[in-house]
Parts: sequence; C-alpha cells; structure tokens
Amino acid sequence: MTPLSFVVDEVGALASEAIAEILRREGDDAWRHLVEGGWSTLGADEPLPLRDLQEVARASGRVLNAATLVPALVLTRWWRPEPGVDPAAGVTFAAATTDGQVLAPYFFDGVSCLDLSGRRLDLDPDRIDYFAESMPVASATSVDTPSSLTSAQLADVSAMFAAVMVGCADEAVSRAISWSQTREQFGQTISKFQAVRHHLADMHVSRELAWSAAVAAGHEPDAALAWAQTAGQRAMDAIELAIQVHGGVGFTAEVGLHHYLNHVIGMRQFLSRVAVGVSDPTGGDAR
Amino acid sequence: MYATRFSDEQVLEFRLKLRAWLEGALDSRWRDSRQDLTVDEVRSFQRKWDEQLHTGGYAGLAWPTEHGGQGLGPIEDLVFYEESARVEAPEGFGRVGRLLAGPAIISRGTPEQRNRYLPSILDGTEVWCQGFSETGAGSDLAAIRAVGTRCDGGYRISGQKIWTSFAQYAQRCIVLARTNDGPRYRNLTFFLVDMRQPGVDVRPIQQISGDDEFSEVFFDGVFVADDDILGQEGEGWKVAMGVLTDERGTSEAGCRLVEVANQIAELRRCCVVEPDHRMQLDELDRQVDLLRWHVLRATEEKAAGHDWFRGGSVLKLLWSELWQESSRFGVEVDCGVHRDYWRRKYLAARAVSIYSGTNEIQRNIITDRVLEVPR
Repeated sequence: MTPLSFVVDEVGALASEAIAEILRREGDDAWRHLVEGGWSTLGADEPLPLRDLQEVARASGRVLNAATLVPALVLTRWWRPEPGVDPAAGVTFAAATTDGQVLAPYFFDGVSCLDLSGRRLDLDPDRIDYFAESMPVASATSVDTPSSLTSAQLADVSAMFAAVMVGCADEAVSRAISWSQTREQFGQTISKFQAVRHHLADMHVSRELAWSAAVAAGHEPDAALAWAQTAGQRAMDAIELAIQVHGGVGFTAEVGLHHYLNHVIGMRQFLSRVAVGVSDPTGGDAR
Repeated sequence: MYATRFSDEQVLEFRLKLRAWLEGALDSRWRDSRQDLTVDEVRSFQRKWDEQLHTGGYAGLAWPTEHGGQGLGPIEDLVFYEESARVEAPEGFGRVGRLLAGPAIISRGTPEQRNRYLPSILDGTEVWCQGFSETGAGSDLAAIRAVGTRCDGGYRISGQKIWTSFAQYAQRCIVLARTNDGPRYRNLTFFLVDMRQPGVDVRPIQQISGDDEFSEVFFDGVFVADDDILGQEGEGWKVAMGVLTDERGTSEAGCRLVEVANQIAELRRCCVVEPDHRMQLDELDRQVDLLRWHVLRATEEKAAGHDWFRGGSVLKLLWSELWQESSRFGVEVDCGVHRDYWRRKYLAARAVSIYSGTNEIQRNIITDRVLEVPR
C-alpha cells in the first residue's frame, strides 16, 4: 500500500522545477532538450515514487509541448527502454480498449509504440484522432494485439494523466489572472470587478480539488481511474471559467484555451475506453 | 514531537487507540436514534461529550503540553475528527473554547490568563462564545461600534453583538470592542468577558431552522478588568485575525466534515430508497471523499510548516457548499418518516455559507491573498 504522504520529495520537486523551466523556455523545441538532458528517461536507472512523477506530469500539462514525456515516464515505471527505441522521436504506450480496439496516446509522427510489457507495436499513422492536437490518439483494429493494461498499470496511467490535467488547469488559471489585469472596461481593469474576482477564486478552488483528486489517484490504485475522472472534471471547471473571464477572445482559436479543454477531454475519453486485463503477465508491480 | 506525515507510525498508533476509546465512549442512543432526540436531549449529549473528551485525553489535542494539551499536531487533530465522523460522534459545546479562545489565550495571553482559563476550557466546565459581529459590522468587522470605556482597574463594555452562537449556555465570551478614536484596525481591544455579570443580556434569536442557537448579546457597562485584556489595548484587530484564521483552518474543516459525513450516513441508513436517489447519494459520497482528501493534503502541508492559513478559505468554501448540497438532498428525497427532520436540517444549512466569513468574503480572500490579484 502506498504510504500516505502529500508533500513531495526533494528529488521530485527539483525534477519538476527543472523540467518546467525547460518547457517554458524552449517552446516547440522542448522535447529535444528534454531528451538531451535525460529527462525523458527519468526514473529509468532508479525508480522514482509516483508522487514525484506526478509533479513532473503536472508541469508538462501547462505547456502541452512535452511531446511523449508523460507516456515515456509511465513506460519507465514498468519496463526499461529498449536500445532500439529512438528517444529523439519519442515513445508511447498502447492499450487495448473495451471494444476491441487499440489506443496509443501522444502518437505523434515518428513516435514508437510499445505495450506496457515492452513489446513493440506497429500502428497505422492514418488512424490518428486529432481531436486534441496536443494529444493525438492513434486507434486501430488490426495490429499486433497489445497486452491489456493490468489494473496496476491503469492506476499509474490514471494518476499521471490526472496530474497532466491539473497542469492544464494551472495554465488556464494563470492566463485568466494575467488577462484580467490587462483587459480594461469601464475605465479599469476587469480584475477590479468582484464578479470576475470570484470567478478567479472559483477557478483556484476547482484547480485545488483537481490536484487533491490526482494525489488521491496516486494513493488509491483501486480507485485511481475514478479519481482521474474527478480530476478531469474539476480541471474542466477551471478552464471553462478561464474562457469566461477572457470574454469574446476566450472563444477564439488564437487565444488557444480550447487546447487545454481538448487535452483534458481527450485524456478522460482515453481513460474511459481502456480495458483492464484479468491477469498480469509481468507480476503486478512497477519496477 | 507531532507527526508531520500521515504515513508516520505514530499516526497509526494514535488512530487505533482513538478508535478503541470511541467504541466505548459513544452513547448508543446518540448513534442509533439521533433523529428522534429532543433539542434538550441533544444539548445534554453535547455537554457530556465535552467532559468525555477531557477525561479521555482528547480535548486540546494540538495544544502544547505545558498548557494542558497533548502536544500533538494538525495531523493527529484531523485524525481525531475523521474517526469521530466514522462513529458519528457529537460536536460538543467546547468548539469556541478549544479552537478559538484557547489558542488565542495560549498565543497572546499572560501566564495568569492561561492558568485561569485554559483548564476549564479543556475540562468543559466553562463554555465560551464569540462576541465579534454586530448588526452594522458583519463582513466589515473593523466597523464595530461596541465600546470599551476606561474605568478604575479596567474597562466597561457597552454595545450589542449578534450571531453569538451558544451565548445562552456560555460562561465566557471573547469580545472585540472599540477603545480609542485612532485609525481603523488600531482602535480595537480584545476582551475576555465574564457572561455571568450584571449588564449582560442574552436574547436568543429564532432561526429559520426552528433552533435558537445564536443570540443578540447586549452589554450595558459590563466590567472587564485589565487582567482580562488579551494582548495590548489597541491590538484587538491583530488578535482577532489570529482567531479568525484558526476558524478557517484544517481543524475547522475536519470538524465540519463530521457534520456532512453524518448527514450522508443518516440518509443512507433510512431515507434513500429510490435507485436515482441512491446514485445521487453515491455522488455526494464521492464529493465527501474528495473533500476528505483535500483536507488531508492541507493538513499535511500545515504540519510540514507550510503557510496554509490562506488555504483555509478554500476549505471553508468546500465544506459549506457540500453541507448545503447534502442537506438540500435530504429534502429532495422526501422521506416519509423524517420529512420534518430534513427540512430543519436544510434550513439550518443556509447559515453555513454565511458564518465563519461569508463565502463571498472567502472568495475575496482567495483572490486578494492567495492569487494576489491587486485590487
């Protein structure tokens, strides 16, 4: 049973700060820097607590340009990276669904795909769902059948995805605060109006609840999927209000808040479709 | 040394010992037939519970040992409220004393004040109430009009307080009054008032719930000795803010989680039979569970020394709105046996988004001091 503790260890705190800095600074080039810095295989040599990895996942949720960082971190908890996998292109995992399909999240062009026992899979790049541009999901019906995720693996994926969704909410809250202090109406910034200030407060509350749910997912594997969905719901509450605070421009594609909503929805839909295997061929525990 | 993580071994030991004590301490009539008790019977159970907590060693858990407490921390405090919720224990009358007056006296009091007041707070023999709000000063507490006029050996307090919970049962009151004509926030003094004196007039207010749990309290030249000022003259605002911060802390949230969890347990025991209602109750249970995790997280951060007092506003919003939602649901299910009981509970719950700082004020605090958005 996971010891109950909420305060992150020093390693996790430092790793998430370093990765957050790279993501902020490097923009679209972030993935290359993460690979070169060894961050994409964090935990490969010495496994890290899930709680620490959740801090990293949360940071990645803010910028959505971390390519396959989160799936790579999930994979290293269950399987040591194969030498033939090109780290520069990225690697993700595939999972069987309840309706007999296969889903692979973050399936960008050139990304390798493994199941969580480390077996390489070939997926059809023409079968990619671009509903969420930041998290393309490949789906296919006729490929090598991946192992179903075990319940422990699904718990890991749920906890990590929950943390990403909180990161999406974090970014939405920050942008709304920033916008409210620049946008002026009636001769003053809209941050001075109590109705807007209360929206910001409600966003913060939703974000805090989302994080508590994500942490709960990390501590209660049997309920991790449900907790992840709760984290996603609260994250959506926060992002919806961010769009509201932005007014008309919040509704424009240019501002881009919808990317965060789509990312959260995509993750929640992924989690709702993944099947759980009855038996676990690897033995049941993360490395 | 108190625990700083829920995973600490001492937390498990504390929890097991507490469970055993609660098993023996809780009266079966309270546990099994609470909905059928009269108001007087409920009050009697509450009084007795304060005494039991003291004899059991569970009053003043987070108080320092040198002041009669157990020297434990926010985590043990929270475990206490969690386990109390599990057995649906009553709350007692000692809340203001144990959570507000006591910590304020420990923090700002003289050795004499601590010796005089802390033991009777812990053993439940003195009930405390809080005389802060006035008819013209609710959210804007600094606008209070009650005055303390200097006299030989102390002050005479005159004015009117309102929304003073359990004033009709209290022997002592923490009172904020204006004592000089100086600038706002520096013109108030914090008094420890004896409610049994001449000049104190308590008038219970009928609430929409049918209860009379709070009162108007009129002070007409009530004497308070210099020895019963907490802090210095003119420092009342600072002392009061410390009290109000405690009011919104993790212990308060843990205490309120008892009430919400109890309501849901009551609904599940009797009133909810329709499948749709069962699903809604399951959803309420999930929200309680989420709130519990949030309180756990806040508590561990507080125990680790992180500055969490601003996070108290988030907690207050969460438990108050969930409390209202669960009591509203009690009305929606329209239980044939307990219809009136849930209607009273629902009406009583209208107060929780208003007291301890309105939810509008909590949102202001979050934006002002947590998110630091300039006004």
